[in-house]
Amino acid sequence: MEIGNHRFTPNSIGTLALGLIFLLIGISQFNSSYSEMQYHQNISKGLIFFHSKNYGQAQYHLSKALKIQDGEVGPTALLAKIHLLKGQYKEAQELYEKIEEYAFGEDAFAGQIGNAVCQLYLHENSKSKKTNPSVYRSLESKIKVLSSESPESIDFYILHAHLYLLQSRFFSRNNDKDKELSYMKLASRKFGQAKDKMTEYPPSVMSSLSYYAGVAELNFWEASRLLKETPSPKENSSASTQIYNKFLSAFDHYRIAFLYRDKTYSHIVVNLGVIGDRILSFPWLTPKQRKQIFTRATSYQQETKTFSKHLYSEYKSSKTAKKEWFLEKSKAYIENGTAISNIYTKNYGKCRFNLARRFKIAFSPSNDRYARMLLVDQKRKNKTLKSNFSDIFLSAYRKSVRSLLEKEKFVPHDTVFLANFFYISAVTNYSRKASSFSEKLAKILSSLPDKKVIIDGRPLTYKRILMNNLYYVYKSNPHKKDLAKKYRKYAIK
Amino acid sequence: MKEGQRKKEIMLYVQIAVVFIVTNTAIILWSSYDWLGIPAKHSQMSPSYEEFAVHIASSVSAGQHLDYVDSLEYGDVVYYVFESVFVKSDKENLFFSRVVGLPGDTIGIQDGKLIRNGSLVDQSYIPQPNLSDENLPEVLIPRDHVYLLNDKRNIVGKYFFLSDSRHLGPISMFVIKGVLGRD
Repeated sequence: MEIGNHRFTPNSIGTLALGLIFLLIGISQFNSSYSEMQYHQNISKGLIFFHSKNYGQAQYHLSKALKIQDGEVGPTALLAKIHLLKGQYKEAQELYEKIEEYAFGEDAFAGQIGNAVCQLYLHENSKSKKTNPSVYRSLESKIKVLSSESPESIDFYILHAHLYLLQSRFFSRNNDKDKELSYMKLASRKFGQAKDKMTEYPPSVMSSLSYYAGVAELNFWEASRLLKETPSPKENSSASTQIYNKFLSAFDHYRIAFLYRDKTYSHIVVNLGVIGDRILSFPWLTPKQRKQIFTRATSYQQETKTFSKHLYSEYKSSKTAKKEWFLEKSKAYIENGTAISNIYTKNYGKCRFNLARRFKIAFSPSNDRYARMLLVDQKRKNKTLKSNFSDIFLSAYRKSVRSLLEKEKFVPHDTVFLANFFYISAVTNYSRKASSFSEKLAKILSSLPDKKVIIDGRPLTYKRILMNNLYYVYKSNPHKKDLAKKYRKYAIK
Repeated sequence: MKEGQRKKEIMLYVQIAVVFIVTNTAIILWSSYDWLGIPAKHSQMSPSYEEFAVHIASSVSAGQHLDYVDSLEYGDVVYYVFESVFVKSDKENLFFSRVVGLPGDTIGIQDGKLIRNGSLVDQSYIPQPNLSDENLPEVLIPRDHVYLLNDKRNIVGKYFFLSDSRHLGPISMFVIKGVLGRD
């Protein structure tokens, strides 16, 4: 055969074919080694990003690696874990099911556990009112097997405790108080077992964080339960000490959980603020307790300030960082609580509500009784309160007072509520607006219930405090001078 | 004559063997170290590593690869990468810091003083002005993680590399590349 000047013989064709085969082998070899190189590069990048807590980038690189070479247990499990952390339970479940299919032994069992966890979270998120104990039982039996196989691994204790916490929450949603309590107790016991072994057999980073967040949740739940039983405990009583200690423990544990600096658990930061605000707002704290929580709150504020500086260096835009981490919101809660605490300690100049106002921090139910502890005349002179109180307190109070005055039957708490409203109105020089309620108030005054209280060693009554506050409201309103004269006799000297 | 030739031959073999051994040793030594440039402005390990960086213009230092994470000890100065989505510069992502906590330890800071497992740790190697006055509750160091603190602790912000475990949390041993020194 001849092509142009070239003459092909069987030998030359054979050599050419052989060369071509070798070339193709070379190309495929190069291609596979290039893919392998890319696979390993993506895996190592994914790992670095995962351990740098940049789960988005880690997910991108691991997915890329798995597209090149599917079927590897390690990267698949890591990718599933990232989905789980990001709350993408369906995607995580699909990956765990894959692991179950092609892995053997321990790996397959890990896939089963992951799958069960995903099922559990999907069940939790569905907010189903119907009990589905099989979901809990399935995971529990797997945890038990793993715990018996490696008793030194306390990650399973922590997982088990969280399972009990979830079950307790489920029964709480279904109003089954007994089961809610019993599962909380079981969770507490499991967390206790984990704590005993933690320093000897340190858990994984996620388990450590889960431990502190779980214990915080447990303490918060217990404190809330105790507070429901005794809504207004007396200062220095065993009930108030117990409630305070539980809330404080919740605050401390959330603070430790925050030190793991994991953005996927950003609710921890908000919870810290909410609990801090809650404790600081209690009117019944002893001076020692108030000082203690004040110190804690200050050091937390200091910590977030430094942390914000670090975020600024990483994010290059502090606003994005603060938004993603909810630091400002948390700060607003703490600021709200600190300002209220400052009212109790009579440091009115330190009351700041600016951030709380910006974030529309809800009015805490524990605050509405604070005014009865204070006497009006000492604070009227302090005008700094006017701007701080004007929006956040008065608008909330005015709305409530308007509807309260329309009521037909009253409880002692209503008297306190009115007393508080007139107290705030007097100290913030909002007497005119408060005086506008005087007509309606006069009509219901006799039907308001009364109760005896002892303040600063003086026997007083709710109504007497209300009259005292009313006197100061009328006194500072030039149009209500007659009423002021009438109420002068109720002034508490 | 024959004897002389043989001797020459043996000498040649010996020379080749020596060159081979020396080259191999050099290659092994070279590959077991990372040759790092510590920019002089990276003052987070001041004063321990400041002078070194300043004296050598290009600020080159050798750090040993970390083959076994279990080999880390208190006081080790390690180098590691902590990848941020926002910080793209390699120099900014390269960290140097000191190991103060190992897995299972609890680490806290009280008025700037380091508390390990409930006891105060001697930090006399850090000049007083370099310490901060912060307070952090005691946190458990998880499995495969270490707690790293810079020697100069009163500077945070501006540069990402100034951060340590106080801001990044306990550091995974997987991101630690090697040990720079021990003291």
